[in-house]
Amino acid sequence: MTPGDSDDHAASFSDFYHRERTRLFRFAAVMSPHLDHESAVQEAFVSAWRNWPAINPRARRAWLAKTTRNLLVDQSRRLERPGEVTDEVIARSHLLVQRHREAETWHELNSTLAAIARLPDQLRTALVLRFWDFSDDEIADVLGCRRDSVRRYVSEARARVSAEVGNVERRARAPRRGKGTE
Amino acid sequence: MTQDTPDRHPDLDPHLSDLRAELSEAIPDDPAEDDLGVAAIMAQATTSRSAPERHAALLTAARDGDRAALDALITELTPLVWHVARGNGLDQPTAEDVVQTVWLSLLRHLDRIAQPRALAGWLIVTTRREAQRAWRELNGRPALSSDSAMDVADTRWLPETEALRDDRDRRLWRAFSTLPRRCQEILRLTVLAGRAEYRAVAEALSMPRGSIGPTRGRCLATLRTVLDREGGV
Repeated sequence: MTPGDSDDHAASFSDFYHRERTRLFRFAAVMSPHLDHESAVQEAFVSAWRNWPAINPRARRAWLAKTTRNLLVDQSRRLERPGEVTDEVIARSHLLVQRHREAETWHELNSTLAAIARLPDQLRTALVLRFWDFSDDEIADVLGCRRDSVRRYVSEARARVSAEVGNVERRARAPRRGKGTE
Repeated sequence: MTQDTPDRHPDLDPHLSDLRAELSEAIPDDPAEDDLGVAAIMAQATTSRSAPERHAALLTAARDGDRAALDALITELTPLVWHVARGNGLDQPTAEDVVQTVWLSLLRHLDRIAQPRALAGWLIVTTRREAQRAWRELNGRPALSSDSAMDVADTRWLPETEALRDDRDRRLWRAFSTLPRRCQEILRLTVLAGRAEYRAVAEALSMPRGSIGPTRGRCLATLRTVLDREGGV
């Protein structure tokens, strides 16, 4: 189970890891804040390295996202006490650090994260991949669906999340920072 | 969200951009190449299972009386136990005692470790407790463990001089010793325990798990600054 001796493979893998790891860690964190999302990404990279020569170079990122998603699904099946993913469960994950911020803002962020985490797998994956700027082709690849369906999934996911958190009166203010995903 | 999404729920967008900004900060971009991370992945891929699973399998075998499994476990995890002990300010002989005590304690509790996959975490927590107890016995007072103590530089623990073969190592460790103790501990534990064990590291340091990565990043940045100021490595 070694990926061949070629230095090229090691170089391209290491290059890929440096470039894409943050996006994948962020993807996994939003998919399942309450699970061990960092381990899932780590395991997915290990598995990617084992299969590196067989993975289509153009589909590497999608491959990693798909594997990470599957590992997170496995993790949630193994939970000893699977319960509803409530806002409180998400808050306990400590993904968002409660600092000197208005309690209301913090609460809103957590509710959004929880609403996303409660979506069915397929919708959640579509929304979260779009959230971190994966292309429609990549999303279709991860979901195993046609490209046309991706927008329907994203739209349906947005509608469901919006129904839970979107209707709160908001203070008018611009997003504070850029996307910062590159 | 991106512009081509059917705009049926524009009220959601501010929520999502806030969330994106927040998460980008919680899981920051680390522009530095993480060669250690790549090496860890490749090493993990050559063994048949991930470290926590391997530890669990070895632990289960050890419970059934497999002496070789126990030896393998001790060989693999002693560096971790040793560094935690030394990181808590113990001198070499005391740290050696603590390492012994921790392994004896594992033997006593072999049947009672509730989650074999979390063995590394159990060892970190037990070692810290033992190290703090040993420190108290030696010094007649509790070790400084308040947050303020965690923020001051700590020169107590450095590798033995004979182990520092060249100037580069010496400069690196000198810079390391100027870091706050919390930084030193995070760097040591995350390197030895691996990214998969961030949860255990977070528990051991009583920090939110989500802040281990960012804090580690800041500590590395500080280390780099100190090194640059002193003429690089």
